[in-house]
Amino acid sequence: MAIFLNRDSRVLVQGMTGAEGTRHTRRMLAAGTSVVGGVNPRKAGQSVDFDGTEVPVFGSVAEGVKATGADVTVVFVPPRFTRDAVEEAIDAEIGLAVVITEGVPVHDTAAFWCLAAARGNRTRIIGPNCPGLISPGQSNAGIIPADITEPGRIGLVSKSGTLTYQLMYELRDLGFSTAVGIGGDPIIGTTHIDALAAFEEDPDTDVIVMIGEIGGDAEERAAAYVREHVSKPVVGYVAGFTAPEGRTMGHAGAIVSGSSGTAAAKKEALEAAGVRVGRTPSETARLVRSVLAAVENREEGDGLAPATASATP
Amino acid sequence: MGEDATLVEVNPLVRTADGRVVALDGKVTLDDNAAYRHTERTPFTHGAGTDERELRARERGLNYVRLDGEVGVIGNGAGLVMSTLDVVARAGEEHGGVRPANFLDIGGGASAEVMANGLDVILGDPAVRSVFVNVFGGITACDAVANGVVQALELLESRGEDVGKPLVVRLDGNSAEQGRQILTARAHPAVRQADTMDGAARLAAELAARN
Repeated sequence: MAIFLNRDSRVLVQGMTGAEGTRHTRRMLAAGTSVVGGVNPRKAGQSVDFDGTEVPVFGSVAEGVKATGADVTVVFVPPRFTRDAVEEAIDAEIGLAVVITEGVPVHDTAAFWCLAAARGNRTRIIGPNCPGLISPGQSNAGIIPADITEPGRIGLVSKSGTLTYQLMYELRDLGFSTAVGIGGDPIIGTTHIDALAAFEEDPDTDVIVMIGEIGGDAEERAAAYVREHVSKPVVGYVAGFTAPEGRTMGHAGAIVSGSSGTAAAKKEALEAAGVRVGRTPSETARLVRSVLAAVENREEGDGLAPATASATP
Repeated sequence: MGEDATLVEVNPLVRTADGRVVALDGKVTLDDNAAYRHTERTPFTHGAGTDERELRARERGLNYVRLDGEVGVIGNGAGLVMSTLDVVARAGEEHGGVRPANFLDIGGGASAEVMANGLDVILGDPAVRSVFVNVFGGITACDAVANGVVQALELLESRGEDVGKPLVVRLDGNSAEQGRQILTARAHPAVRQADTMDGAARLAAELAARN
């Protein structure tokens, strides 16, 4: 099943004809993604050849959706055009907009976030400034390398791209249902909580990995959500224990302000909610391994299957 | 809103004995990502109050934050670099309390030039006693990173700069094996390789404590 993205997903690429868009469309196609079209008003009616696959270019997201039944768009347009691109996707009522672009002004993100909300959140936004998401073996929407790992039963949600890759690599023999990079900007479309809720409902996910970092209170709110609503085991990791106060560490949202947003506070909140938190990425991977083994033993063992298992009576 | 501010703060606001309300201090943070629509501000940009090394890094387009430790850190991706700082600090607890000397994210396309600029800034920092280069090749190919490290060292040597500080390199992911072979073949005396992030951090901390 996976979350947000599966083998039936039909993907448009906004900015497909640009350098980044072209490069990553080729990679998405190679990973098995159904890329059904690109969007560029100046090249509407043309098509682009990707190693023998002809992908048509549409003048707008709405045209692309009408012609192809696309339900996902991946946005690679430059930062100053991102707001218009995402608002166009929302206007077309596409189900999922994955915004890869880095460097979007935060007021622009606020504007398209509000538009999506005003339209009843019919369009889920992931990002901006994120690597996108992958359901290995099914579909890949964004820039996460498809060859790190195989399908499996771990779900992952992360603010950081390279930490996502690192954890996928450390757990590559076990595999993933879906890995979602939600981005590290101050305002993001899909939060840890949204992904936790989806993984909780996903029958193909047995354990959830949640990667956070300094800044804001998303991890604290996610911890409260886990305590109330998540029955599956959650393993966490938080980056930025050594970050000094008041300095932005790479991601625009990664900043400790006064005593709020610290890694220590986030780790504490997660642990208080029963989340096991690793001190390094490798230790986190070891925790996931042991938790997953325990889940599988329980399912095979004494018939006392957890609520999430599809045990026969 | 019109100025693309992300923070406008008045603190403290006081009421004086004679009943006047006075703002004693204020702070405004402007969104760098929106700077392109506020070109009128450019003449007011200056680096006063910024660390000299940070200023040099910024001029070269590097995402660098100076810290107070001894182990220089270069990596790709903000999250991975933040995590690297933590792993170094932890490893440092067993080596006389050495700490990370900086945050430096070289981002996606780790070209030889970016690597050279990064190494130049870090090796030139007198507080730095060892350097940890931590790269997970996602889109970035590790063979390109390895070539970047080799070319950076050659470039710095040709400029007559000291590259004697030990450099611990950990490469994983895309083309990692080719990257490791390039470094092995070059056999630069300053460069050592480690298989894992934790192992590399321990080695870098140990070298910093010994140097």
